[in-house]
Amino acid sequence: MRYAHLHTTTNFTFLAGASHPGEYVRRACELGYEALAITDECSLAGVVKAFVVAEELQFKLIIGSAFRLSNGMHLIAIAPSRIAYAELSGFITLARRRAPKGEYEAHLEDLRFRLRHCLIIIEAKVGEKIAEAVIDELHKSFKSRLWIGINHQLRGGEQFDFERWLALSVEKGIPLVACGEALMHAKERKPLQDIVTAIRHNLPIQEMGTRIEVNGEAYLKSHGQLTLLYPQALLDETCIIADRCHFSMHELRYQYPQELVPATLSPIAHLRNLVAAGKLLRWPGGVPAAAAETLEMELQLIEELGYEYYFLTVHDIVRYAREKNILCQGRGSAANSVVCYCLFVTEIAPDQISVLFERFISRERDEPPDIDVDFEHQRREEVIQYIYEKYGRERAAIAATVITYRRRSAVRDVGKALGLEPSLLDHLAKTIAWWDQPSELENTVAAIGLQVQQVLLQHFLKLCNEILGFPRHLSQHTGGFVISQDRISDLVPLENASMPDRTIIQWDKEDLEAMRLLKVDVLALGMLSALRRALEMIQRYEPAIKSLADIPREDPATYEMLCQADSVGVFQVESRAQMAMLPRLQPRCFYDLVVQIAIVRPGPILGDMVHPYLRRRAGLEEITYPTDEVEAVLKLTFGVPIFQEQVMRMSMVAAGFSGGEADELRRAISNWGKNSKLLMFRDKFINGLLANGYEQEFAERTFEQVKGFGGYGFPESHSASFALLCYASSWIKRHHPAAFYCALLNSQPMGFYSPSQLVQDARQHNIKILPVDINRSCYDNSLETVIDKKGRDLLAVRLGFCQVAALNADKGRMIETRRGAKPYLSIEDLSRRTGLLANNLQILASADVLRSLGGNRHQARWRAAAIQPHSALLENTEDCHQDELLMAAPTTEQEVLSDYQALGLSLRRHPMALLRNEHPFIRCTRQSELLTKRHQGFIQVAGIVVSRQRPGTAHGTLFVTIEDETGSINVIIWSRTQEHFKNVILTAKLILVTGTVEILTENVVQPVIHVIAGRIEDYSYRLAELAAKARNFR
Amino acid sequence: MSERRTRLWLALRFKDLPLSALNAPSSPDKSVVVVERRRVVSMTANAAASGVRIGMDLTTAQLLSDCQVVTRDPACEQETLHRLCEQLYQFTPHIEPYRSRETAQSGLLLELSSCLKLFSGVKKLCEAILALLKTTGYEVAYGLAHSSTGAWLLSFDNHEIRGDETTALFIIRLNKLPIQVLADYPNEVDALGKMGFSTLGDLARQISANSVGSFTKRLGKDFAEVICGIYGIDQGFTQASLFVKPVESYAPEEYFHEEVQFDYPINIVDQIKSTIENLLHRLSDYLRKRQLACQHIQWRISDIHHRQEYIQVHSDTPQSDWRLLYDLTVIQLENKAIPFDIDCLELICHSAMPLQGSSQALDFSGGRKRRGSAQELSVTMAKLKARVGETAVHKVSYRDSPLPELSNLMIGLAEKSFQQLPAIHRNGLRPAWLFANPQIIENRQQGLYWHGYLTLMVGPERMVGNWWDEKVARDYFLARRRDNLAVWAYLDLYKRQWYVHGVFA
Repeated sequence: MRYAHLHTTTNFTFLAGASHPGEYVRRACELGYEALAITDECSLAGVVKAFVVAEELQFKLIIGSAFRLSNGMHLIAIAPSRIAYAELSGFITLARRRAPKGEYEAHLEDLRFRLRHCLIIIEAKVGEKIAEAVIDELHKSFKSRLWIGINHQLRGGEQFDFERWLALSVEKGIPLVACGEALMHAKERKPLQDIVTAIRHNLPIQEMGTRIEVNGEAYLKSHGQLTLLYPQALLDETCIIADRCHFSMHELRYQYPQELVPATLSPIAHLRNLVAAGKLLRWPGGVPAAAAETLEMELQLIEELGYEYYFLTVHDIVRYAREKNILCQGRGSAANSVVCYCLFVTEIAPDQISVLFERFISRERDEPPDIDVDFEHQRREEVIQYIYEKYGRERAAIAATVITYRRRSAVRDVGKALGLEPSLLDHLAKTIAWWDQPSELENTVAAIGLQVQQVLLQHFLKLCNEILGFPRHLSQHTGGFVISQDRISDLVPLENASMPDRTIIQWDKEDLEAMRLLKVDVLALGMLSALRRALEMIQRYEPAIKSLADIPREDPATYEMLCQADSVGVFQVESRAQMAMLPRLQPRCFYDLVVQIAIVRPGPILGDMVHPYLRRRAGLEEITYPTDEVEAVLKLTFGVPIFQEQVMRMSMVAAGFSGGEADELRRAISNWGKNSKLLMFRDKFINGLLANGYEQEFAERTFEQVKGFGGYGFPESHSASFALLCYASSWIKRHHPAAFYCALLNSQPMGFYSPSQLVQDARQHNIKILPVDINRSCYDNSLETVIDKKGRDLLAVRLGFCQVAALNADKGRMIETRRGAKPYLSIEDLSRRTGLLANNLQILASADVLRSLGGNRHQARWRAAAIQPHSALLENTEDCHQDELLMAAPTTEQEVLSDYQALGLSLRRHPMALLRNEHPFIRCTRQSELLTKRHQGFIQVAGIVVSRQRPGTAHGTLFVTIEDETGSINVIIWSRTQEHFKNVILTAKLILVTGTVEILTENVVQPVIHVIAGRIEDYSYRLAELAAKARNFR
Repeated sequence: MSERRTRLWLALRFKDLPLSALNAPSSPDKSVVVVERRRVVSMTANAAASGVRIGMDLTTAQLLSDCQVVTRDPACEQETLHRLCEQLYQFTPHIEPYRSRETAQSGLLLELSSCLKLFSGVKKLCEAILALLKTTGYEVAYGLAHSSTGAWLLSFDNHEIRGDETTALFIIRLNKLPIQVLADYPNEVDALGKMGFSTLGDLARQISANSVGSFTKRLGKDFAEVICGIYGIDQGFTQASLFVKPVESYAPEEYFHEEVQFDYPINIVDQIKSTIENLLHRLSDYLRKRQLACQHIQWRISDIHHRQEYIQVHSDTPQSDWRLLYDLTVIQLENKAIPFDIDCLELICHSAMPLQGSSQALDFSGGRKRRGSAQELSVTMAKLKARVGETAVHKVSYRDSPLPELSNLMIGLAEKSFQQLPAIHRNGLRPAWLFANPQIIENRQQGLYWHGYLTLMVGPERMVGNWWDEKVARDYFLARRRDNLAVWAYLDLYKRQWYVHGVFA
């Protein structure tokens, strides 16, 4: 028997379907269906995922969509051809664009004119009456493209209703077709289907009543079951429809935008011209032979595969950014090519790293090249608006990101839908640490010991796991743009994003990759903003430094600073792990930085490559290579594979992989964990090595290293791009620290450290930080010249109004503008000139910004509170009510706490300094005293929790950084200790750690100090006590 | 600062009123917390010993103490305060309840100046008040001051009452209080904290140095008035006495209570009917004169040995006429044997309510009849309930459930019923009579048998669900018995057993 299933609702009809698209396709294939139509409601979001599986299984996939029209009628539109697909995609776009995000609005009137080639099935709902005029209109419009779909789900009244539809079919000559809706691929998903429905209605399942499906019949059925439900003629009709569908997703041919090429030139000629012009600028003295050869090979490959437009598009965007003085840098597999270097997409010269040609573009797989371009995060919007303006909203749109259920959201939503106690769910969601495995949830519930009905609890645990990975809604990708020659809506529907004037397509990054559509990643990078700001500041007093290119290369002082792990705020090497590695690896040149960035990654760590690398680099271990080929690949990294490119090269030179196969291996490595494709390469890899004469042990060990890269290996090309910014930021920190900290503070939020920590670090570097002052500060933090004790000019950082968290940015800018060159004379003067009222003035007073006008905080606040709206009629009466405050000035403790409340930082004493002489902190060792302690000696330290990190590679170890008045202390908490003190670790603001100190001095420039925690106590309440009169300490 | 006239206020703050007013049943070992909007507002001592604190969120409290959770009931607290007012009325007529806007604190403010002579001075009076309160079991904190708010604030500072307190002493005591006692003004307290004020004395000093106007323009008129109220500050009005807030007088609750002593013991209902009628006439007069109506009356019968029994009479609609109450009383009396020889009959009506003025539409087309029939129904219902008991009379409502047996519900007469039959039941076949308990169908060799052989006609209609509770999977069929009776039969797919679930008309 032949049968094609025509109505499938996947979980991309959010919170309605209960199976993934791929699950449907696999099940349909198992059941021997002729074809399967994916018909999500006004959406094509799940079709690519279904298509990928259908391709794998060689199964016929039909594309369609279901609609609920504004007149209440339900119907399904199916795309039998490419033109019909474009119509359908356009129709969905129309319906989605005219409604708010997540909704749609489709009218019967639109159908006739917009779906001229689609096949239409009217859903025959039980008890639903459709006006005869509507049926006649549909029949007239769609003629032989119209069916009545019978959806037999064993509901009450269906049998009687069928007779009514049959009569209508006979009377109007519209054929009936079996069109049972599937909400899940197998009936076992019924509980999950009910739960997602309950989540959609925001009701507990117990109160859902008839809103949930009355039975679990909406699944893919066997031929035998179908024969019992539908007359044979209706089943046969499904294949008639399927046979009329010839459209395959393969036909979606992508057209690059072509206006970038002058009419008189071919795309490759234009690209060659641009490259030639760039070449002259990059190498005024002539192109090195190796680079010239690679360049020609790249250009030939680009021409052969037809990717000229891609490079031209990226070049155009980068050109615009450069014209507007927006810092940007490309990275990605193709970004560090010689072509991109000549196009100024990247600053990495070919001789700086060993670019692998096979990573450039894979000929075998014919996949689009990958270039991500980072822009300053505060100016990326300008670039986005340029793209919209140049290509129009019809031709440029942002890719979607599918927001899926994770553990915490699953616990909240499933628990709520099951009617569990909100406080229990809140507790569970908060208790689930980001490192917990799914099984931990069960343990957590058991540990609480709360009385939850056993059956319900079992359902809860099962459903929480089942819903993981289910799409929840579409969101906006961080910056993936799709640009096409024709309307994008012909390829994929567009819908409104939550941001005003933004549209997203219904496919995500993986879908675009699968469909081989061009995507340019226009990404935001905070460090680029910081660098641009720093360069602008430096240029004012050192005009020679205009851009990143003017920064001297390979500066020894900069590397010396990094070897001391003095890297707070420096791009990519400021994390705890990176800072611990810097004194060990001791970077002395650019390539060392490339390695430094790549080595502190899960891939090299899990592959056990870090220690061999460090030992070999320090000369403690002999460097050996089994063959010359391997030596050529691994020479730069002392025989230890650190980068993805090296794994690829190894597979080529030692295991006999072709370039394309090596690239496939790289992809398998990247997706390790999501699928098990990597293991498919195991035999080929090992056999290849054995065939080339390598020993079994070497082959096994090498593959284990390859596996170690799974999902987390870092490509050299990315690492090199990052290393460039890392070096630039390090150089600025070393030579222009005031500008560095000022720029970082102005670019917040970014990086690992809060403004408070950056200020602490700046002061440790003897940079004077000046408080926010109403008559001296600008809106942004700025540089100010001060005179030191010896009478020399020094650059200091003056904090700006932007640091006052509660002050509106416009108001902050207005204070600066209205001040001009004439300082404010009094609070009344400030109020009169700016129009600020008592509430804003009190915010400023609380932040101690008005000290120069209104005395201490208490007095300023007292005076600010008395300010009344200014009236011209009462021009001269404002100061007549001078009533002085009798209260004393705030104490240091009060000042510090008020600073933290208002600014998030304090230039006064550290809170730990205030507590230091009190029990139990008096017994604790300060950070500055740690070095004087005995290695592995008993120790107590206390401080404010600054960060918590638990890298996946650390075998469950948690790294906590605490801060006291003398610096940051690194605390290591083994997993066993975490179990005992989990609540304290997760919630405490001030902790006291009892443990042992580890001081590593061998083979390091700077001693590496850790405290291994044995006991952790929460003393957060002492901060609250300190705030006797103030409120919370942030 | 100048004094207006000497008043003396005693503030009684009931510390754990949210808990004690509820009378939540629990064992002494069990921790109990009272919550409002998921925050703890009161708790037992053992809950406090476990670390539970006021203001803590419920989850934390539960994790700390495994406590019983009860929700705060302001109505219950109000009722308790009302009862306490009744008891304290004997000491002073000037009683005002006080409830904090921001916290769960509440209590009573008593103005004592006019009652001091009667009770031989403030010390004795206060002792008598506190002695009475001790018998109630409520934990009370008290404060004495020259102003009501001042007294309330001093209740947080616990000073012994000596009897020789003066306004100056009250002010000294108030000056020492932290500004946080003004918990009903969190924004103002926050602002004051940021200006360096820490005690009420700081505020007083500032006012002395400048004027109240300093606070009025910074923190608003309302707050300034509160400060003035605390200290009894004269705000400089020309005729200050005109602005003095009059002290409220407490009006004790009125209720009806009359009794008849019989000359000889009564043990037959008929013998007391006339007395009942007579008492109800008097009640009727009482209600009519005061424009009141009542829904509930209570009869108390007692014998010479002081044995007592109560008979509760309840009407669904408020009554000011005696007739229905009489009928309902008689029905109750006739339904039960008189337990002893009645010596005394008392009629008590506590909860009278103002008579609602009901407008009557000019409707000559039968509307009056409908109203009349509604009135008759309500009388019938009242009589029915008096005869068979309050809980025995119900009405039926639809319920939105996919399972037939759960799609209807018996609800109380006062509840609103759901009249819309869910669509899946409207579209499907449903029997006129749905059995409360499905009847098992025998599976004989010749077929299904339920008081005769059944033939399946239409179906199946499948119902699968309720997996979170007691899971259900059934295939329903319309079946016909040989005597042409149409029944609604189903096969339980889990048990593989056939049942009849209803009969069609």
